[in-house]
Amino acid sequence: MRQALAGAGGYIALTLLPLAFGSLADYYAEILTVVAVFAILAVSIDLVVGLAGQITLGHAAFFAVGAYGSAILTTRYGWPHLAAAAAAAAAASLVAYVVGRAVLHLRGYYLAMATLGLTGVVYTLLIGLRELAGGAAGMGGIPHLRIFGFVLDDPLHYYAVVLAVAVLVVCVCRRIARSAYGRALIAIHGDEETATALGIRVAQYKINVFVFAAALASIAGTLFAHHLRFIAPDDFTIGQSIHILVMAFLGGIGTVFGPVLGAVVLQLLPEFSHHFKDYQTLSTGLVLMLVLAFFPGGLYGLLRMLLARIPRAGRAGAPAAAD
Amino acid sequence: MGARLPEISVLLQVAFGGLTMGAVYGILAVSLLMVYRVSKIICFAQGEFFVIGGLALATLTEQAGLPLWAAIPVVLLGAALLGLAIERGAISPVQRSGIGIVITMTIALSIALQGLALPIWGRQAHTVAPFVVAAPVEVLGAFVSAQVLIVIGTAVAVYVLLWLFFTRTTLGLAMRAAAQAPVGAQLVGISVRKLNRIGWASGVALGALAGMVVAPVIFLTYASGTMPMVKAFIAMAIGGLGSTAGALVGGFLVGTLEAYTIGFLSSEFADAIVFGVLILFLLVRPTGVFAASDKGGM
Amino acid sequence: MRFALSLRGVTKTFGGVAAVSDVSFDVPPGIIKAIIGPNGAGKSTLLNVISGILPPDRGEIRVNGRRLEGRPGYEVVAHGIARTFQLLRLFNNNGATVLDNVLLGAHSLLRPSLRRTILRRADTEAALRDKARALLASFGLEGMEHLQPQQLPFGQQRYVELARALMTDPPILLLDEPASGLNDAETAALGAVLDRLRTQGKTIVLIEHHMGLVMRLADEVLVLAEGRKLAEGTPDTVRRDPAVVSAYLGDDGVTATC
Repeated sequence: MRQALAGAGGYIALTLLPLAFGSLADYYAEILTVVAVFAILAVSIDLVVGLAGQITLGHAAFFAVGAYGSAILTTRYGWPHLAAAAAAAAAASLVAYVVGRAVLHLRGYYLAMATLGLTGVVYTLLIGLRELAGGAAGMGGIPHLRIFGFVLDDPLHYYAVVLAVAVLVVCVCRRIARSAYGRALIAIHGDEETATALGIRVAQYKINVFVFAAALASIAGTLFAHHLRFIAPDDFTIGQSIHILVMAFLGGIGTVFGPVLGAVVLQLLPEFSHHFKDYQTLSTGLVLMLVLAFFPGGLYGLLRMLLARIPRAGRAGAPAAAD
Repeated sequence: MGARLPEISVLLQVAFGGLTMGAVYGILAVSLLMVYRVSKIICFAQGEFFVIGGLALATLTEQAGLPLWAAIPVVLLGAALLGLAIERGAISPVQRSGIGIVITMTIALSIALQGLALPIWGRQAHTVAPFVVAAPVEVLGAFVSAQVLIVIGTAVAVYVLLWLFFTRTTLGLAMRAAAQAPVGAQLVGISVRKLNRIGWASGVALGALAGMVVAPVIFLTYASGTMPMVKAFIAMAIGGLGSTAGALVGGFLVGTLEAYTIGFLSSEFADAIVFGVLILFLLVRPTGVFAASDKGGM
Repeated sequence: MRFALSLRGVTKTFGGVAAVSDVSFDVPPGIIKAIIGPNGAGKSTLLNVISGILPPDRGEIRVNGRRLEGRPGYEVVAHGIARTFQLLRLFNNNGATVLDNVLLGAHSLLRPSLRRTILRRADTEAALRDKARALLASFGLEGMEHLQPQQLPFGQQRYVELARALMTDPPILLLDEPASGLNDAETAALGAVLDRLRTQGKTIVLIEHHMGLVMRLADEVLVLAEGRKLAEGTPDTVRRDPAVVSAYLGDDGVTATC
C-alpha cells in the first residue's frame, strides 16, 4: 500500500515536472514525452534480453509497426485511434510471432544478426511505401491522439497520458520479472537444457516474451507517432535498434528499472550537452564499454551501490552522516 | 524493363561492381574470421576498422602528403596496435561473461569508434586518390578501373598469404590448434593469450586494409561501417564460420547479389534482399555452405 | 506390482557409437536402485534418455505404467520424475538466489502464464515459499535462501539442487553422482538423507561411483559397461559376480568393509 502511494506521488510529481520550467513547460513536456516513449522501449527489450537472455536487434522494427500502423490507419483511413493502436499492436505481435518462431532457436550472434536483418527489412520496406506512407520523405499529418472523445493537443496533457502508460508498463514488467514466470525466463537465460529439465517449455516462453515485448514496442510507436505527428523511416533504423539495446544495458540490464534510467540518461544527454554534440556518440560508447566491463549492474546498479553507502538516519532521528 | 536481356556490357559492368564490393566484403569477412578463430567473438566493430582505415589513409595521403607506400604500412601498424589495445582493454574483461555481454561490448566498441571518427573526420565524405593512375580496362564493353583490379587482387593476395600462414608457418598452425582445442594447445606450450593478441591485431589490420583499398572507389563517412560489417557477417555465415575460402566466396556472392539487385531491381531493395537472404540462410543452413570447422586450415 | 520405472531395449547411439545398447530393467517402487559402471559406460546418457533430455533410438520407457520414451524433458518432469545433475546446474545469473533456484523446482506445478502473472491479485506464492524454506531447512540450509548458490560450499549447493528436485514431491528421483565431490562426512550425511527419502516412499535411481555408499544404501544395483547391462541384483550378488569384478570393481568390491 505504501508503495502504491509512493508510486502515485511520484507519478504526480513527474507529471507536474515540466511546469517547473515556467514558460518552457510545453517544450520540456515534449522532451519528457519522448523520454517516456523510450523508457517503454527499453523496459520491454529488457524482458527479452535481460531476463530471457535473448539478444535482439529487432526492436526498432516493432516500434516502426506501431508508429506506421497507427499513423496510416488514423491518417489515411480515419480509424478510431484506440482501434488503430490495438490493430498495430496486433500486427507487431503477429510479426514477432512469425519471426520469433523462425529465429529464436538460434543462439548468440545468429539471433542478433537475424533480428538485425528484420530491422533492416522493415526499414527498407518503409522506404518503399511511397504511396501509403511517404517513403523516405516520411509521413506527416498524423492527428493528435484522441481517446474517449478527448483530443490530446496540449503537450502537458499528452505527456501525462504517455507517462501513465510508461508507469503502467514498468509496473507490469516488474511484476513479470519477480514472478514465477520471470524465474522461468531467468532459468532459460541460465541454461536452456536445465530449464527444460525443470518443466519449462523453453521455445514457447521465448516466443511469448518476444511477442509481448513487441506489442509493448508497438504501443511505444503509436505514442511516438501521435506525439511527433510526423514519422520517417530514419527513426526506425538498425541504429535505433542498437540505441534501444544500449539504453537497456547502460541503465542496468535485467533490472527493469535500470533501462528506464538508461532511457532517461541517453535521451536527456543531448539536451544538456549541445556544445559537445560531436562527442556524444563517443562518450556513450565509452561509458557503455566501462559499464559492460566493470559495472554489469549498469547505472542503476551503481546508483544502488552509492545509495547503500549512505548510512541511514537512525530511528531516533539522529542526523544523517555527511556524504 | 524491356523483354530483351540486358546487353552483355551492362551485365558485365554490374558484375564487376559486384566483384569489387564482393572483394571488399570478402576481405572484411576474413578479418572477422581472424578474430573469431582466436576468440570465438564476432566483432561488431569490424566495420569501424574498415572506415577508420580508409579515413586514416585519406588523411595521411591528402593532408599529410605521405606517399602510398608509406601511408599504407603506417595505417596497418596503427590498426594492429588498435587491435592489441582493444583485446586488452575491451575484450579480455568480458571474455568470461555471457555472450550477450560480449556482443554488446563489441557493439559498444563500434559506437565508441564511430564516436571517435566523428569529431576527427566530421560528417562529410572522404575519398582517396586511386592507387594507380591508369586508364580503365575495357572488357566486352564494360569498363574496369585499375582500382577495382587492385581490390580484387588484394583479396586474392590475402587469401594466398593466409593460406601460406595457416598451413606453412608454426604460428598459423598454432592458431588452428588453439582454435580447435584451446586446452590441449596450452598443454603443448602454445600461449593462447599471445595468439589472441595476434588474432585481434591482424583482424583489425585486415579490416583496415579492406577500407584502404576500397577508399578510392567509394565515399567513406564516419558512419559507413555498419552495413559493410553486416554484409561481411552474411558472407562469413554463408561461407561457414571457420573457412577463409568460404568467407571470400561468400563475400563475392553477397557483393554480386547486391550489385545485381541495385542494377536491375532497385537500390532501395538491395539491402532488404540481402537481409532477406541472411535470414533465409540462418534458417535453412546456419552452418554455412562450406560447413565444418577446420578444412585444412582454410 | 506396477514398477515405478521400466525400461525395455533402450538404445541410444551418437554418430555410430552406441552409448546405451539394449538396456532393460525394472525399478520397483520405494527402493533405491544404484547404477554403477566404469567411466564411459553410458550411465549419464541413460539418465538423460530417461529424463527426456535425449530421445532414445529404440526402446520403451515406462513411468508408473505410462510410456514416456521420446517425450521432451519438460513433459517428463510433469509425470513425477525429478533429477539432479552430475555437474551442478544451479542458476547464478540475474541475481538468482538459493530460494529462486528451489522455487524453480515447482515450475511444472505452477505453469505460469503471462496473462495470469499480469492480472493476478494477490501473492500466490506464499505457500510455495514456505515449502521451499522447509526443504532447505531439512538439509540444514535455513537462513541461506537469499544467498547466491555460488556463494555456498559445494556440498551445500548439492543440497540446494536436491531441494529443487523435491519441490514437486516427485515419486521418482534420478540422481547423477550425488556424492561426487563430497567428503566422507558429507557422503554419510547424504546417505542418511536418501535413506530418509526412501522411508517417505520415494523411488530413487542413482548413478554413483562411491562404492561404499552404493553397497550400504542400495536395494538393487545395476551394472553398466560399454553401454550394456552387465549384471543386476542385490549389492551382494553384484559384488560377487565375476564378470562385474573383472570389468569394474577389482579387488575393492570383494574386500569392501563398509
